[in-house]
Amino acid sequence: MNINRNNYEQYFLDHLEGRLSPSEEEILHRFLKFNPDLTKELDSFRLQKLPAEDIRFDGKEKLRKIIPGSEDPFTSDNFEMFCIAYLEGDLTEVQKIEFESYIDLNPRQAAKFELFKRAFLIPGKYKYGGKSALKKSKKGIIYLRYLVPVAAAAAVFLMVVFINPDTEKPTEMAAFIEPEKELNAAKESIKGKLPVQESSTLKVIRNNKAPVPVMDIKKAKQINEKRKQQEIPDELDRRKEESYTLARLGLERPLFQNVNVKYDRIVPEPVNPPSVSISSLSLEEMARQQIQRISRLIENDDELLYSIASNGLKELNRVAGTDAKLMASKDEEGTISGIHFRSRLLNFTAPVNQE
Amino acid sequence: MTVEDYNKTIDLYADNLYRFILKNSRNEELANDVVQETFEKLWMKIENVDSKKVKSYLFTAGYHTMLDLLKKENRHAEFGISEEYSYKHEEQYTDIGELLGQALSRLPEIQRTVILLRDYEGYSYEEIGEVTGLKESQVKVYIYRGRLHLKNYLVRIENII
Repeated sequence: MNINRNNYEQYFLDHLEGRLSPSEEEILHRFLKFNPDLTKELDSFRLQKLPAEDIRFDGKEKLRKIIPGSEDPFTSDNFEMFCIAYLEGDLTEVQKIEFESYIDLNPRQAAKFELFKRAFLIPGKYKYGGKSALKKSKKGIIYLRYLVPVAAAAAVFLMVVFINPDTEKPTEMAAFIEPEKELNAAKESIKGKLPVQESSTLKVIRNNKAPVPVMDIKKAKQINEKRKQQEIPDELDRRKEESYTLARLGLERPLFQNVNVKYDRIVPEPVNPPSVSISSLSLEEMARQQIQRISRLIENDDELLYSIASNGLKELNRVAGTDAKLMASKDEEGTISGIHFRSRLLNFTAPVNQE
Repeated sequence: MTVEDYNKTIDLYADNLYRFILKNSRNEELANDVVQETFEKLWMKIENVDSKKVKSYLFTAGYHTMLDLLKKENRHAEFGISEEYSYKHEEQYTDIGELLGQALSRLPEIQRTVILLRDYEGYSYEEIGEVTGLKESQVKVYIYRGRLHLKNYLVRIENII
């Protein structure tokens, strides 16, 4: 506490309101001793405190709105509440008689009571026009009741297939050409044989009757021979050479992983899709492309997959009025470790393997 | 509850529910939406709802759906404003029903709801409490207050006329 002539007012106020500690009071007394002119000012502060006066409002009872209970006697002060209670049927027989006799004797109050009677709503006729749209047919329901668990189970199965890396990949996933397979195909092609598996691009072009340059087998053999004579390394040899170079650099790997070495170290250039309009794609091809695109988006995102399946199930429940449930259990790290499907017809639990 | 019961419920209570929501919200489009959504909810719970308690279920679900929709549309604040003391007389009223409708729209939302359930549906305090989630004593207080405001409104209008 550092009291001086510039800040003494706040300490005076604290002193008058009893907020100073005994030690602070002591300091204040010492300050006043050295500044006697301020004692008068402290006294004037004291005079500003208004004495409490005992003033009461007598009309409290009239202001009170007491909802009459069964024990409350009727009084003219509580007339309005009794009017409402009478009309609501909340009064006892005794209270009713008291109230009615009061009304009979007071015509002015009877007019007021009439106003309360008019404050009750009279239900009018209202028609809701969409009743027929709300009604349900039994036939459709039975069909949907059986359809929904099946559809839900299918959705859950698909989710498990996507999430679980141990599960065999669906055929659409095989559309991604793996490096080794691509290399083998190239090798076979160079040796003069047509590729065993047609690429999707070729299939599309063929289906759409576009002119396709078909390699003559004889001609291919001739080119192959010529390459050998001119010592032009084919694709396979070039890749092998790369891996040997890497081996010399100390990045040795087993020979059968040559191809992987190349793909680990070199970022493959993006392959431009063939200039074929969407309208000319077959339905199967379009579907395949869409699945590939979505698969890449949602791969390794279990939460998203669960959310998709869960929301799909909610919609099915909404449409068919069923109560099938899909729940996910999570491990300590918060990742989905299993899913549980519950419906009236089908219940199962499936673990989700995480790598 | 069977499908037949459900369809019968539509015939019995769709009009009542529509009237309750329309009178409460003063919005025809919203009333239509609430009725549709409420019956959808009933359909979802068809196996769990007792047909004897279906009316109460409909009004409870309808009331809460109305509040949710109003909240979503950011109209709740406007909707909940009490205009009980603004007695400007700007229109010519032809009958007491119209006048009461005007008075009703000026009540706070909760008072309007309890009075509508009481007068239109003839619900007891207890049943109104179930629909609105209020205690019976609170329902009673709101009804008494609402009645008093309605009566005061009528008195003021009569004096102005």
